[in-house]
Amino acid sequence: MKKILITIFAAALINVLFTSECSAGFQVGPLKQQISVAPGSADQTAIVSIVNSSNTKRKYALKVLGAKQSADGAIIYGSGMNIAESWVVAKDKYVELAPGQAKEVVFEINVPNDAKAGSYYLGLTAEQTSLKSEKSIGVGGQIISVLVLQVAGMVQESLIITETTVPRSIVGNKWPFTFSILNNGAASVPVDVNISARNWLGHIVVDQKVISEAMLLPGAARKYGGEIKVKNFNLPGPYEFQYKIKYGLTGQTAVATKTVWYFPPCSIFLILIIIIAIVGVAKNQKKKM
Amino acid sequence: MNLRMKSMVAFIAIGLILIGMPHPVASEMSSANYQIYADSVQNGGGYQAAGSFILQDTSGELSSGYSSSSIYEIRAGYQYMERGYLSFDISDESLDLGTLSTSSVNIASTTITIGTDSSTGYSLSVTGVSGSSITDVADGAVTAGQEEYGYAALGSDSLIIGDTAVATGTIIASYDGETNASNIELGFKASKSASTAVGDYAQSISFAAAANI
Repeated sequence: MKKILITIFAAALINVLFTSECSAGFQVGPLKQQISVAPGSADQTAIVSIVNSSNTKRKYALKVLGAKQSADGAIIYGSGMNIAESWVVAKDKYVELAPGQAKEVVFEINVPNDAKAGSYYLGLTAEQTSLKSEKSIGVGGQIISVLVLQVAGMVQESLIITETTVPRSIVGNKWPFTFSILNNGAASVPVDVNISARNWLGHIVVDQKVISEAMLLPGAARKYGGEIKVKNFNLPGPYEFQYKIKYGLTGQTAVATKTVWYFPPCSIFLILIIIIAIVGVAKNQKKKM
Repeated sequence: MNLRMKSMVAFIAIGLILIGMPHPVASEMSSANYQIYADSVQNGGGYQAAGSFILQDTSGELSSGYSSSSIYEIRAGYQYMERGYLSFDISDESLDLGTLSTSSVNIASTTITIGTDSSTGYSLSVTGVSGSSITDVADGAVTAGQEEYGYAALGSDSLIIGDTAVATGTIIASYDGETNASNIELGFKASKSASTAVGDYAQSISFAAAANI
């Protein structure tokens, strides 16, 4: 009986150990880390943890990528994007992990003396090296742990509005707009954007937050567009369309204005009636003469 | 109650008091040379490692747990602090498009699965392309009889519409919150025309997942 139980237990153990379904992937953490460094410092490190969750022994290449922000706000990683890529180096080029094994890897940070103060966004990357293949497409996976390197010193937050567009004239209560902004400072800045419109009597007819706490990386240019809805039955005439952009931890503001002519749909009918009336009166006058 | 019994009751009572006692002195600490991400003063648990396994357990924390509303999120207690992880899985790392013909589109598929506990979610992009290929698709669809190569990405997080060229910097998929397993099926497609140069074409493509900033 004892032998039977031992056999059953051993069979169950073998079944669990060798036939259970395993993921063919890997895992990396932390997702993001922020390290403050002084120019010239060479004693800082960033630690990234890698777990091989596949069922085979795998080798991972450790790399550092730069990061930049596209016009639609997406973060793009690649080589040659950021001067700080050369400041951070993986202590080991590769790490080899057994199935289920976890290991912490070290990235060494050496910031040159002449490094400008500000925020530098980097990707600490673990790349699963591809299995040898003679097929037409080899697909490799990378996981990026974001490193925000903050170089100490005087940093000025600066943002400029590079472009604003609104139609010259608008009929209806949906007013389209676009605007582009550029972070030309050395720090990443949170951005809030308000759009308001004021009629020729000075009354504000709309004041709307269109962007809330969007993050703009240093050097990034972003373009936004949309439409704001105003109340019906506004006065026809010129309106001052104002973009008010509040940015940064210092709460600075950038402002741009445009003039737009607004005609409510009812005013078009009114103008037509007036034109028809004038033409009618003119014709009557002509007949009388 | 004899003396032995009394001692035992007193011992149990003291033990229970110690287990339940709150210890609120804990916070993140850092200097130029070190960073303690999270510390916690409690009456049990700790860090243990054996081979491939790591255990970080805690006991005796007061009011720990996760709670949130539309405007706030509280991760109370050591175990609920977020360091975050991203997992990446490819179902097939080596794809074969076979021998192309002018009468059909050859397709080879693989699925990338992403998991993360990041509250900001993740983005998946192409970070590297090397090797050779035939002409990239430019009209949104790989069509039989035309020399075209590209891929389609299917899944609820996909940002790709139709068939697109394989290009570094393309954001393929994105999600704005925590996900256990987001699947993105990549279907690589190729077709040839009568004038396509005869030869072997092979490409290596790197896909990278990162938490949204």
